[in-house]
Amino acid sequence: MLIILYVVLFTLSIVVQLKVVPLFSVAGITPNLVLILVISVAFRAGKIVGVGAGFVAGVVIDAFSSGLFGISSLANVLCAFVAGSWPPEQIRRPAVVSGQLLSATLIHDLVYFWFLTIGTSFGPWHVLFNTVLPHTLYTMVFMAIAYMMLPKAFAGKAREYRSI
Amino acid sequence: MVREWFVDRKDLVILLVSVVSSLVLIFSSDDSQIHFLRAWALGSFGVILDEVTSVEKYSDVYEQNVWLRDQNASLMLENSRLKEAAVENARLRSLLSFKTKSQLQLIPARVVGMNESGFINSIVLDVGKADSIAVNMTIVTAQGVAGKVYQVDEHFAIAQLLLDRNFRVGAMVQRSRTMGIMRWATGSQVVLAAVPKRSDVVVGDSVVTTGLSTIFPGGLQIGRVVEVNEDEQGMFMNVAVQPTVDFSKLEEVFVVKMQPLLSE
Repeated sequence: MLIILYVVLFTLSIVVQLKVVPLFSVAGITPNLVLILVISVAFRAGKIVGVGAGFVAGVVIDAFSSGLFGISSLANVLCAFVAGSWPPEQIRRPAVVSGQLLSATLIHDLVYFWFLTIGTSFGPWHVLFNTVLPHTLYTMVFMAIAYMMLPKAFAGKAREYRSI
Repeated sequence: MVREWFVDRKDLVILLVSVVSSLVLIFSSDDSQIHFLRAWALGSFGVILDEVTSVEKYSDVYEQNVWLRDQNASLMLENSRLKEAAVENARLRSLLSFKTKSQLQLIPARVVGMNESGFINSIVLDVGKADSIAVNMTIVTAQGVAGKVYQVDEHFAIAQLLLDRNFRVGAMVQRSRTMGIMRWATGSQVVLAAVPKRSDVVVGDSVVTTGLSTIFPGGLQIGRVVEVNEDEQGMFMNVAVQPTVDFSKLEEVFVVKMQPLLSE
């Protein structure tokens, strides 16, 4: 049942990412809704489920891209592992949640854009300040909205039950 | 013993398997199996995207709009050809004859999805092999060149936009016939690269496709020169070009039905 829910949620997020998110583009910078869902799943269900979900979602997103196939999968997998690695009892503290969301998102964007800039003339600092950080911060804004609207989605509830 | 080790560290094992699988996918991006996987995912999710897009459109207004855009694009192409003809006429009037360009056939397509990530910019179109679309066919709008077909499924296609880091097209300044290679620079700007120093290029010049390409027809509008700089030490000029296509408002495009020599 949970798998069906995840399939529906990821399908919806991918459709919204491809149809609606481009409307929020600011100078080519867009938030990553699929990434927010991957982190949420890693929070709630742990890193193993998060890694699996991130891999599959990345494959689908890469299918709609003209870039290298597998970049989103790799970035999602590493991000989900980081997001799901924190102890469940820490997840309730807002400061910890913010730090965890930021680190997971930053890892995703660093890996993703590092691969995309291989072979280009863009320097690492240029990519960091002009691409990685703007994408990370924009995604964090949407993540904060999602966290305020659906705090339980980031509550780590399923992991707490499992650890008892 | 080994089984216990794997069970104890199953999170690390799954991470390792996923990372290795991702790397295998990355390093075999051009394999035929990966193209098949891409096409399958495109076909499966394309249906959903298409349905969502269908809800958005109002059929009468849409049909009329498509017809008008079709006319507009045809007029744009005719205009481009006429401009080209005028320039060619002045340059080649001593010649007895020259070949007239063939009429380009356009296939209208709706944009049902957009993947924008700073370096990689692509759109999903609701046309595919069933509509005679092939890889590397040119994508145009009424304003000019938008990109080319990158991946094609039976009913959907992915187009690589002019603003994609991997996109290249042979281009020239329409007035002076100075040639170069058009590629993405940053944001919504492209550059005409490999233009030798002291070439005749000024701000405001119109840039068009050369026609020497095996993919793109000649004379299609790409953009206007907005900045020209001569690098003191380099051999080439830096020619910044603003594309004429507004990529933030791509809703309908046209695929030029010309079989590229490099199609798959």
